[in-house]
Amino acid sequence: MRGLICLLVLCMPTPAWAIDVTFTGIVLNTCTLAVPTPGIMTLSGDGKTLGSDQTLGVPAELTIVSLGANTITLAPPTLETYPAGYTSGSETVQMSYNGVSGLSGVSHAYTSAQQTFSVGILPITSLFISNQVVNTAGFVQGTYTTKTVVTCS
Amino acid sequence: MQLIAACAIAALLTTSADACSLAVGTPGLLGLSMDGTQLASDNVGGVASVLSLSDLNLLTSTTITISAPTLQSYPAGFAAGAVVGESAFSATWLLSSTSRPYSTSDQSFTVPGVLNLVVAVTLNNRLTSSGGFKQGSYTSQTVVTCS
Repeated sequence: MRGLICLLVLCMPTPAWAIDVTFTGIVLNTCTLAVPTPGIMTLSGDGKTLGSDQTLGVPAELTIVSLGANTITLAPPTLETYPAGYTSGSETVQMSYNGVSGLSGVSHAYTSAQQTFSVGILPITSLFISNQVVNTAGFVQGTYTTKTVVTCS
Repeated sequence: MQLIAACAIAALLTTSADACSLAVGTPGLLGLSMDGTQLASDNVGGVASVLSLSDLNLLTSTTITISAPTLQSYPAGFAAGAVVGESAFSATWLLSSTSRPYSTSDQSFTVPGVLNLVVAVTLNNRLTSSGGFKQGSYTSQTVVTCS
């Protein structure tokens, strides 16, 4: 009987044992934005539009480097400064943009609404952003600045 | 009497064999590749996981199986479905060793009885995403089984 028990013990299959081995990776910021060329706005012939697409105006150049899946967000443009004597509130501030190279498929006509688009792995690539301020009442003499906040997340 | 003694010795050996012990000595870390497409423990900043298997069956050989890794957690908004997980390992035991390159499939090896007092396994994980990785924390998991 003892021999039988011994034989049974020896013949028992070895059970399977398992352990989960976990690896952790942290991806830090994989996106870099820079503005090597600020925009310049000039007045239209009819005096109602101040924009970077007008004659002698210059769109702002934004460079993007992305090492991962990121989302670019362009906030609605705002009128930041204007001369004393100008009555703000009646103008419309708009932006448009177009990309080149790896962003050649990215563009948008003038809009006042926030815009987003996705990027993957992207070597340094330019996005050209134009701003314009439209006021049917025209503009008083002085300096005006607009701002479009761009974030990468 | 001799039968009882032999049975006792065999029972002791078998009892210890039933309790295959697996312990992770070094947790793994994944580092991002320069081109941003791979998170791997053999990239700069990565660390391979080292684990030990002991209390194996001394009377018979033991098969150790290492699964392909699965992506367990990732940042919200990341397209996890496009990620390819791979594992690679090297294992060392008394008088011998083995290794396998990166593979998306489960891999196994057999350690002969008697020689398998302790098996040390160095395990690597690699996650590949052609679209890159979104900022945040990622964990991959490999299941190691002895049977």
